[in-house]
Amino acid sequence: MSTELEQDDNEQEQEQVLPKDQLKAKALRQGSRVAIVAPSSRPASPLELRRCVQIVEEMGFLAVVGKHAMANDGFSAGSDELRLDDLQTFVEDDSIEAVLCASGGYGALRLLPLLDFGQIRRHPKIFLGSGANDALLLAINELTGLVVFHGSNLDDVGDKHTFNAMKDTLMGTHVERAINCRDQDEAPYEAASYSLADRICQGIICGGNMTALSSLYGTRYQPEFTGKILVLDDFSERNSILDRWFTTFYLAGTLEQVEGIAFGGFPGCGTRGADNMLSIEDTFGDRIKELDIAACFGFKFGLSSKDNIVPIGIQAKLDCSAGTLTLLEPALN
Amino acid sequence: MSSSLIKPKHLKRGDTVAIIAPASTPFDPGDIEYSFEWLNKLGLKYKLGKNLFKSYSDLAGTDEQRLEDLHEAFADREVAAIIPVRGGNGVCRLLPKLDFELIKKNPKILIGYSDVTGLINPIYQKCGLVTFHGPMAGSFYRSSYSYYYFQRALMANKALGLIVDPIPAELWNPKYPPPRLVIAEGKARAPLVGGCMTLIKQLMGTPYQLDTEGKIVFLEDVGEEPHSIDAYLTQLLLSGTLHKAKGILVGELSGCEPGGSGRRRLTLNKSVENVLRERLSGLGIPVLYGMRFGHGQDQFTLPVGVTASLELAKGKSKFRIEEAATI
Repeated sequence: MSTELEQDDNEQEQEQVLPKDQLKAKALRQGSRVAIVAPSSRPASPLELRRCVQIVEEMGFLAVVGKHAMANDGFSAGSDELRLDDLQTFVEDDSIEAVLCASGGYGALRLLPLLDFGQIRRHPKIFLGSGANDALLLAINELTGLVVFHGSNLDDVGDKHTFNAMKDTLMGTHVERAINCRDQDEAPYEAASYSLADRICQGIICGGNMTALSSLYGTRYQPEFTGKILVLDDFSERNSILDRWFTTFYLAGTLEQVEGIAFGGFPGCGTRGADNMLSIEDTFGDRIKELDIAACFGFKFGLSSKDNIVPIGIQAKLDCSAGTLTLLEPALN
Repeated sequence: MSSSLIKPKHLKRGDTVAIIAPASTPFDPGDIEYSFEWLNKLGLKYKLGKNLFKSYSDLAGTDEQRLEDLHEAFADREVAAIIPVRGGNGVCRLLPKLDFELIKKNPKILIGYSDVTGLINPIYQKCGLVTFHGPMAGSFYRSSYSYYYFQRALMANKALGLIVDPIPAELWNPKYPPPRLVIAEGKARAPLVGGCMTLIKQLMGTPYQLDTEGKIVFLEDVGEEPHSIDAYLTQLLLSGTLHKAKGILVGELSGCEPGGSGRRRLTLNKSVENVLRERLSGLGIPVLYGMRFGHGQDQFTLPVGVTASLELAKGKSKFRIEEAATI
């Protein structure tokens, strides 16, 4: 630990500006110790948590479950203090090489003012999750420069494809991985991409779950968007509410700052009841056209198609007409 | 602050109001017939926005069409007040192209709630014009309580004074929440800003973000899960927004009980009242929950930008709108 940071008490640390240059964690090896935490809601059942452990073990890692992963305080997995305790313990434990979220729900946002981001910068490791946990991941990336992983919470891993994608990402140092709207082995009727302007752009990936991302606006955890490629997805939300958050991005200047947008899956989104509501592509499309942004719909990240994990904080190339997002550097060392 | 305020002229019998739809439109056009009847009772004439019944997605026409009606209503010398037919969705999409100079040059009454929160606060902030949070053309006649305050707020140039609660229609089985749940005791005297939490959240981080510094902030919402309300309040706390307020008035949170939204339900839960207590009781400012404004039948009208006072103690709470909102 560096001494000049050590003397800071928690409160001072919050105000402190940390270096934000890119930082990468080490790739996992067989036998790496991997922590399972629930910074938001708890897994649906003890059986479900057991399945999360088995997933990690089946990948060849050693699973260490947070003490309070099954705690219960209303909609969150225990009080803020308990969830923070699990997270902070693993952050500071150098034998832990990755912190994987077991489940989504709600709660990670509440931990941000309590979390010691300086310790994360000092002990870089893999952080992976999705949904509500994206608030935590995006704040980590913004404040520390650490590359984090927007993908699946462990309880979303429900097939071999997702399992392999997660394992490859955690162990991978390979460059030139591409996240495609349609994979080569897929028939054209199985998947498609849709773009409003057939453009190619390049930038650092930022974004994730729209609800989680929008909850950082106006706070010190709001990402800096200039020159970034924005990735967006969500689930189980009304299109009219998603229109609201997209409008936030529009009004805040985000859409003008980014190089391009790659839209993932929006399962369970739509109208509530049978109200009039155009599709997501139409709803976002008018402002994409107005601002002439490179944007492509149909990527396979987000809850619908869990086979791709998006590293936040590395260079990528978005080709809208081909429907590809090519990662231009390894996400891990 | 008060010196730079622009107060609109109050409405008199014989005045004309513009009915427009800056957000969504009624699904059944006939719904608006009731509005005409009730406006007649108040002795008010009305003009309809030319795009009032246009439809695009869940919006009352394209952004251009809705904006055109809003601009025309402000520019029209004959129009004394602008009363949207309803909220819904879409007001914030208009903000980048909204002509605030035109509004400043043609101050008049603008009233609304829900999605229209996204108009009344930015217009107050950018123009200094006192606007009104209250029922709209499709809702001001929903109860005698709403009608009483709507009329008193818009058709007189006196301060509303002490706000009283509606008399319950039924003595038995009273409605939750009680109108005066004190979350935190204390006193405050400050100008009012606020509205629907979803809209306040939507404008965070934008040039239209609600400025709560030194204000009494009023909040309400409809059909959001307790965890969503928690996320909204947490975002406001993380931004420092609520720490700068002098007091908080939470109205009705209709359909915000667990499962009430019909989406994003969580298996374990917490009541929205507990969320309010957890997030708002430790700010050192008075906080009251339950007064009748928001998405319920009964809603009193709150003028945005004028001074109000809050006096909260156990079993005794007073909310007073001290300043006249119109000239």
